[in-house]
Amino acid sequence: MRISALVAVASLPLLSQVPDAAFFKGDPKAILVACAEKVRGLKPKSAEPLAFAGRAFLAAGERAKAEEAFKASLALNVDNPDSHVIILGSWVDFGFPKEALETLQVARNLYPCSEKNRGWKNAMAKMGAVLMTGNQPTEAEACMQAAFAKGPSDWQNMTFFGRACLRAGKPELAAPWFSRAVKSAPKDESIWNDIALSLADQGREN
Amino acid sequence: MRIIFLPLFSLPLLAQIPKDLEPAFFVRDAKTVMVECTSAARSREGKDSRMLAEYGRSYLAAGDRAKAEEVFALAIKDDPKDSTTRYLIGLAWIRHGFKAEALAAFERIGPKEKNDLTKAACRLIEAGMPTEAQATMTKAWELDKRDWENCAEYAKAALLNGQPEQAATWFQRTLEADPNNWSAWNSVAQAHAEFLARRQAKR
Repeated sequence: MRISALVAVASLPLLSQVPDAAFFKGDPKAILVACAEKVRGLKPKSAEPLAFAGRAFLAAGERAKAEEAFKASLALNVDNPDSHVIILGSWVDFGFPKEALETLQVARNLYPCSEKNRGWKNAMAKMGAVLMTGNQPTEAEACMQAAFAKGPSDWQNMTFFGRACLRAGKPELAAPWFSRAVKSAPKDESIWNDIALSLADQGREN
Repeated sequence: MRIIFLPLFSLPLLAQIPKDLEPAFFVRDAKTVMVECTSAARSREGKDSRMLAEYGRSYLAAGDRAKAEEVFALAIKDDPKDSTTRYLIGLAWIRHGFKAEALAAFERIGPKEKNDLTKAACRLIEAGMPTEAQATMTKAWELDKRDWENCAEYAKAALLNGQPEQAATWFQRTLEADPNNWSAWNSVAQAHAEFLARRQAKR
């Protein structure tokens, strides 16, 4: 752990006390590490908080700590789809494509067996969106196809993915998903409105 | 929030749902597609004020201010007291650069609507109006100082939009609101993670 982060952690008072505003004007990486340690300390046995702590560590450049937290998260609950989304997104956002694809493979291996966990379908769509904006369109499309296979009438996932395609500057990849969305319920005004807003926002996240 | 029902003479609008729903429909000029999707949405019966406000956002994006103002007026007429409608109208204006109009809409948000006030504050700081943003957020905060989520949302917006001083204050308030809540600490962490991710993406 870097000296600045050590100082930040050491300077934090008791668990229930909050640092003053000056702390938050400091080095973002030091703030990240300190907050991640707090999260880990408050929820040492919960999968999602640990995955989030891992993300914060990775953002701060603390790869070893990140991997430790990710591993701990999956050890607690490997079938938590949201943890996989957080971990994948972390690798993508901070420039680790190989690790991202390894995470994706783990998720794909679990996905076919996850019939009883509806969250997996949505998680696949989210992973697709992350990969699309992370410049991995082929893998992204495969994720969304997997989500669609289990939820062919789930238009929210389709427009969500389409929005990510727009955000990534690939409207031609959004088009088939918008088409599928409106075909699923052509008289539903919400779908048309969602697509119009995706275009109006140029794919910007809501 | 009441529902507006279209009168019978508007039935021909039902024809505005495109017959061809193939992908090619969506790869045409974005503004054209936007307007046609909005028309398709409007052609359905049963409107609410919030949906009308969102149609206005699409019309503004397509450059049709007159149509946007028409649906904004309809939205307000339908439910003059709905704060979220006011917020959505302000959102539409501010996303397309109409700051004065946005401020006027945000100022009509109900004084006790802390969530809509928070969202408005975030949009104002994103639009480079930090003074107005801070004032709006302070109103929201004074309604409920224990709402760490609203504090976190605004702090993140401040951080990501070049207002580190404000961000610092509001991150502190986030944690003071609920110091033993892991989600509160995590919100501070993830805001900074996104800040660094965006910085990395620019390189």
